Amino acid sequence: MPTRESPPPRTLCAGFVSALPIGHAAISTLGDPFDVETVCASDAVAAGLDEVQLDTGVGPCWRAYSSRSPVLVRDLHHEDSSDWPMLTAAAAAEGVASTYAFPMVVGAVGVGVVDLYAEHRDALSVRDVARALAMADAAARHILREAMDHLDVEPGTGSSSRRFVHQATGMVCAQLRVTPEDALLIIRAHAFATGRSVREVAEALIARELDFSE
Amino acid sequence: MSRASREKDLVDTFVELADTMVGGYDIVELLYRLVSRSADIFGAADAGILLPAADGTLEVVASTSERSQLIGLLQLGADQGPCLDAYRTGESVTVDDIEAIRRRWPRFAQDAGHLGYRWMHAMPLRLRDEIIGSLNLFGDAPGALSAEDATAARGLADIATIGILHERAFRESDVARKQLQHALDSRVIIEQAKGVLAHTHKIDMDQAFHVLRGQARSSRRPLSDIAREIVDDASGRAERPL
Repeated sequence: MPTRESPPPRTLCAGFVSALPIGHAAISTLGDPFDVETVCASDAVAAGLDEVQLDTGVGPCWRAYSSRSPVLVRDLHHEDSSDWPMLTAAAAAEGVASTYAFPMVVGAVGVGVVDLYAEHRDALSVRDVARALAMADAAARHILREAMDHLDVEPGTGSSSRRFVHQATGMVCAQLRVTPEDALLIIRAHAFATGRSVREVAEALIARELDFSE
Repeated sequence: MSRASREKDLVDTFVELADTMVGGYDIVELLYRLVSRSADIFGAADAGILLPAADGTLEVVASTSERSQLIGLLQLGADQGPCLDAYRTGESVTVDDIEAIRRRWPRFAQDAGHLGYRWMHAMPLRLRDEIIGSLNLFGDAPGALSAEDATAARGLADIATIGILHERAFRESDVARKQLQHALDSRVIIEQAKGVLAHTHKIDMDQAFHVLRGQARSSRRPLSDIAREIVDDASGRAERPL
């Protein structure tokens, strides 16, 4: 099975961490024409917090993505952070106090969002925000180009990390005779109820440790 | 035109053009407004814009009259003229007498002399190192553009440039989006179909993919079509009973 030619853009995330006063950065694509997945993360903290946002479907990254404007949550444990309780709880557990989401857009294409996480409140100055915007722009172009470069990969052999979720979705369709949309909802509900990530539930289904038809 | 009213016209034009870009964006609208406002403000009889088509050949994309359309075409035909020079060199070109025209571009002067323009001012449409076309003014009355006018005209040319590049980026990214969307849809449905087959036949994902490909090959249909049917069948969405 062919693997991706170029390594995942980890340097993109590392770049944000070194250029800005934040401790963690993750970049996620959030939907058409991309999969909903985290494409890189500077460390496990960033990856974990992005996963919470992606799995729950709520969070600053989603708001930034749909509004196409940055969402700056200067104090996660104060403000209107009751909008995303699971993220707030996960952030507290990791010592993260603020988060900043910058949408990545190229022309008409919403590529995704850059999520920055910091240990302190009010971590970004106005100049930092301007710099982050410019870097998000560049990251958007990079990811779009990468995706275009991979267009020729034979369907069914690509290495999107989300592929396990799609496979598990198919299994649940067959197990319960439901549509893929409902199957994914069931997977997400199960993940939420058992305190696991969507990806963990997907892997359990594929490994036959979990079967909803039983 | 008095200086005060000229200033006002310029400001109004900038605002109008900016609105076109922000609101319901229409590049053709933008360019037509630009040429007609340019001609008005600078006391030119006509104005026109040259842009390269997809294959690189220059075209008269907007023009205030048949006459200025024609002079654009004549330059393209003769492969010489002020508008081409502006495009090729990235520098503005001004000529204000027939003799000068004849000396610089003899073929063009021959073809276009009868059109009767007394002065021409050609500006490159330029953003940093990229020259994407030219904005051209043509006058009947004596007295070509003053230095001040030329600067103001440059401002309009810059707006045109930004508008054109903006629209191009939009168009190209839209093509990219559609291609990616299609690729994504295929990938997703194929992975889902693997899952369906894996559960139904108690096989692993690689074997499931093998089955999928086998079906596609034997029925000579695209993988994603077969995949879609498999998923629809499993989810009870099939039109025909199983």
